[in-house]
Amino acid sequence: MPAKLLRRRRPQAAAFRGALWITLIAVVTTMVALSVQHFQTVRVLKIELEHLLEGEADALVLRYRDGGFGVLASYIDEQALMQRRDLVYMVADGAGRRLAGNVLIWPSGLASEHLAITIVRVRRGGQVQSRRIEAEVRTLGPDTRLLVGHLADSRIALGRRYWMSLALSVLATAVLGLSLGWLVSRRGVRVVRAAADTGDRFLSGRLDERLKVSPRDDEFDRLAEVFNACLDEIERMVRSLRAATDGLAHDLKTPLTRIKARLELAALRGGESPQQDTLAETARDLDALLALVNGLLVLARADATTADNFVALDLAEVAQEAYDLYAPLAEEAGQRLLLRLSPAPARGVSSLLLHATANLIDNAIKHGTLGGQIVVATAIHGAASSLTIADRGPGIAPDARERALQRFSRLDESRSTPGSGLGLSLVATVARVHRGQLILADNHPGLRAELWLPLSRGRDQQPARAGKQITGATACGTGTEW
Amino acid sequence: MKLLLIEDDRTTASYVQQGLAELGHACDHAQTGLDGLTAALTNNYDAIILDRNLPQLDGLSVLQALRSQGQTTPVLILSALGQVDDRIKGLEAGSDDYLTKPFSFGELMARIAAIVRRGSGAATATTTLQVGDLELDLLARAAKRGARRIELLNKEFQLLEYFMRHAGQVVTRTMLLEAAWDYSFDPGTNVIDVHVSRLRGKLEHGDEPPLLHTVRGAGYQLYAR
Repeated sequence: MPAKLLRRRRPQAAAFRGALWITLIAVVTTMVALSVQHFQTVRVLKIELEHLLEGEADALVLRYRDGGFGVLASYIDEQALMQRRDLVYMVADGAGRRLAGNVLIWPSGLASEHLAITIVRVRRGGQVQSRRIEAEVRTLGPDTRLLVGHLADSRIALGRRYWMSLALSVLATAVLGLSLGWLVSRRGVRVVRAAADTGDRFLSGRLDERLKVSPRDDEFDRLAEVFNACLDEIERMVRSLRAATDGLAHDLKTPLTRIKARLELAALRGGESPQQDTLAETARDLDALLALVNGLLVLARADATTADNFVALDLAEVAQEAYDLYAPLAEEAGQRLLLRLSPAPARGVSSLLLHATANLIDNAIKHGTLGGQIVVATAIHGAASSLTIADRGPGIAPDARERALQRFSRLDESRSTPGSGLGLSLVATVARVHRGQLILADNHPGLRAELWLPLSRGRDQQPARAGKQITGATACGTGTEW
Repeated sequence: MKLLLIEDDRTTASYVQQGLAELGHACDHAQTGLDGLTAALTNNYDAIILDRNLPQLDGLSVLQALRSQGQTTPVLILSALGQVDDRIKGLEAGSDDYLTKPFSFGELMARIAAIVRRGSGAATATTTLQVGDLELDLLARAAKRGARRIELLNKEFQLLEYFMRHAGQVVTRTMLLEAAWDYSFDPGTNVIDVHVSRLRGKLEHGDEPPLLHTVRGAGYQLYAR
């Protein structure tokens, strides 16, 4: 089954995707901006802290050099008691025993002169606490070390605030981005959808359908203009094709009519003259020529068919009618037509579909084998209706199938069999103008020709225009030849 | 028969006129729509053959003007425009038949004969048709020849009814196709021939005299000798 008939569309998908992209971009941007700001702030604070601790440590070292341990210890204890500037102190001996200050135990592994983060036991306000500090270390003597630390509370709070604000910003950006992005991408999607709808209506036969061009004159308007120009061109071609077809019909048929009339008149007058055979042969040749011209015209007309001529119909009824017409002929040719019909609703021009079906059956009869069966079946498969004609003849080789659908192509190289090579290409054209497809497949053995049309449920109320008394065959001598 | 031909192509007109003359019919020729309309309104014709593409006044307008004057002369439109839509337009405008160019002379004559008889013949509502010993009951949809009942399929019945309504006239294959199948395409003569030969097989059993005769190069004719 042709895949294009089964595809389902998801409305709003493009608008949602657009909004999602916009949101994603906004969220990433927000995160990057916040993080840069945060890490800059952290860096500045760290430098400030380094200066503070270095300054304090150097001042204490100076005080020790000037006044000795006693001055230092009393100063430290005084400072520790004041709890000023969140600073903590400790002077310890080589084994880590406290000599002065409010840090109780020397943090293990802390030796470097550079800023380091560690957890210490500290006494503040008469209580012993475990606190995280950033600390500087100085060596005062061979057996004496100084630690100056700063409580890291504000740093931790800053970090927490960073993560909190990051989460909040991302949430806000996501909500805003999704809603605004939805609105923004809807405009683009609206334009695209308007174009698609216009195209659909145009395809269904309303050749005057065009896209609206706004005075904004932006890219969307340019797209609309180009789109409209294409539609103009298609409309022009369809109309000129129709006109050309009518012109061809007239200009080609007039001289042919003269010749034929002249010959017939001569035949009427001539009695039993020896010219009779010549005249009859010429007339037969002319009939073949006329059949070809008519075949081309039918093809050209079918090509220019638009959906405004479509009515709801059932392929099963079309097949039944073709069966009624061809069953006696098949029997005469020593073959049997078998019907396997189930409802297969579609929209189309019934005369064209009947012509196509007749061509397929005629083909099957011509190429079928004596005593063979030709199965004519209709059915629904998913979103498509199908009409299948399967014979038991020699079939068509897979690599020749595409060529078989081309105009004037005949698989019989000698071109000795009767036919113009237009039959299958008419079927293919009829399938295409109905937005369907003709598939030639292997019937193991034989040819299996499948005509697929989009499924159309529900009949419209419009009665068929062609009443019995006012339609009829085209000119005499038309043949449905291959 | 006295006929009027309204046709702008001189050559076609001349051949049609000569052909009709050969068969013993008189035929006036008008080359424009206006001339044709004047001729049709001032003379009494058995039938009018009307081209569609005419200078001054196109064929359909001529036809409408004729019909609005109360003229009921049978009109056969002759046109290169052979699509279903074109035919519908022509028949809606009031023509009795529509023949597409190029046409065969036999086809033209058969159709003129048909519309002339339709115009003059008694248009009474008949329920049975009879040709020789062949009888067709339109209400019961039953056919019999003498005492023999004939079983007919739907299409065969339609074909036979058409033949019997045109008994004695030449009926062409396209006329049959239009009458029984209303097709806008010609499936080829052999398809129609097969249907007719099946019908013939049912009509003529054993040594019953033939009823359905083949007219070479034209079509068929139903008559009892």
